Amino acid sequence: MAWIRGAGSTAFGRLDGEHTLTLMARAASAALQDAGCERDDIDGLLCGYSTALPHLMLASVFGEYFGIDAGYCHTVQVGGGTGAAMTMLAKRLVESGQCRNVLVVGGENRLTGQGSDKTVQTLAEVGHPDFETPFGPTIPAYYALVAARYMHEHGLTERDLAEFSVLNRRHASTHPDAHFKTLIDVDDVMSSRVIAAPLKLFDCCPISDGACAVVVGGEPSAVKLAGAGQVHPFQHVIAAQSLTEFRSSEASQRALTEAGVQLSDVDIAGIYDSFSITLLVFIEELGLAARGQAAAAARDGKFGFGGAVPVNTHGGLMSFGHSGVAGGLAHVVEVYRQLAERAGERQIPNRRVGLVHGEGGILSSQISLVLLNDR
Amino acid sequence: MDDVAGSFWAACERGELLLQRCQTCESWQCYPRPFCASCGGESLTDVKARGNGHIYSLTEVIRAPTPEFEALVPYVIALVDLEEGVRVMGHAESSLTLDDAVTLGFCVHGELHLPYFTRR
Repeated sequence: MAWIRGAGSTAFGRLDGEHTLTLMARAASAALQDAGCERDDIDGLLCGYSTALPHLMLASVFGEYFGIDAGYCHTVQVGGGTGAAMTMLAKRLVESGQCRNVLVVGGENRLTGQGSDKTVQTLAEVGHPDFETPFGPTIPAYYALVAARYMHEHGLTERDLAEFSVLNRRHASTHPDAHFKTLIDVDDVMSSRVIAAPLKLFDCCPISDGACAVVVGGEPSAVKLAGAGQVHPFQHVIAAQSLTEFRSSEASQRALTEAGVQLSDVDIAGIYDSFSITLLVFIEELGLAARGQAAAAARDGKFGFGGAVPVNTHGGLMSFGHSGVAGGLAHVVEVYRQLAERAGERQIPNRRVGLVHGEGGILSSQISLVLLNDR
Repeated sequence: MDDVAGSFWAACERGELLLQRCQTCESWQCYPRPFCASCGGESLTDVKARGNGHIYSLTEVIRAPTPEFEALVPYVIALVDLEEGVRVMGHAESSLTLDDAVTLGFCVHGELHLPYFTRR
């Protein structure tokens, strides 16, 4: 068994004067403090990659920089799903007896370190170099291909997708650390400029600086890290059997079964939202809404603060921000904080079962985590 | 670019879209490799696509990844389901929509001849 005993995060946005290591260190310090741990208590270290600091051994670099002497140390790469994947790995390390306390850290100054254009170009390189990149796709273009087919098969409109941009922004407006806090409505999303049709600027997450960290340990604590599961149906869009079914529930069912709960028990969620379509598809894939019905459920308030399953209560990648690995790890941090009743003024009462769904690639590598209020 | 990819693009230059098929298990590969990803077999054959298919999905790109593609904006990237039962990526003319019937051509971009689909 494993517990999340603490979490830390920086603000997300334009953070001048910081770089990958300083940001990671700030989040890690905050996580140790929240966990009631000293550096000496940490015997496992997992770090994600940084596109602004592309080092082959970033975890070892960070261990040296921050001052961790780890019996297990390793840099993990699962694209945007790295945060969730590291958290799952930390659980297994603790459960196997390999480690007592694992520090999981992700962060980079993706915005101030390399800027938007360079980031777009770097991320576009995830496409197949010989059979996709020659056509000039970008990450938004790959997701746009998904959006177009999914909307076509399920009769969705661009206004349906926009509900998820609006939802994340509404949630971020309550979070002091969020990158984008100004409220937007569906009309604002509709009138934002096209990036790759049908996805417009406000259908896309931003590029931010920021860092997050969690401490996973073997001693009982406020939040049990009760279940984890993965699924990896493909890597490249040209290899996907379908752009409307992504086998997400295989990952979530593994996690729910291990945790001994049902989907209907879930009352708080952190779901990867690189784009409006990403969140819409995962909500339907995971079964939090029927196929084609996620937008209607959003309009009904199901995923808002007062709804049955509040989703991305920090604002998600789309509005809290996306700094790479830390973007996905922020969903873990937020669900942990809500379950641990450490969300301060943003606390939603009586949350018991949290579902986190992380993703890397294009709705491809997926990791589900189930967190339980163990207070 | 390895030999397998090199052969694919050389064929495009000749006006041929090659689809790789395993002779052992008859699976099609979504992109060519020196082995079959389904059965591991190493007897693979290149089939020339007849060129007819339907649009599975498409997007018009406005924000390009590089200055080189910026010059082409707006351009349409499509996924086409060929009648052989294989899905391929290509460029496409504008004003197409999903499920439209299309036929294969090629357009030159830099050093490559890209598969380019038009309304059939």
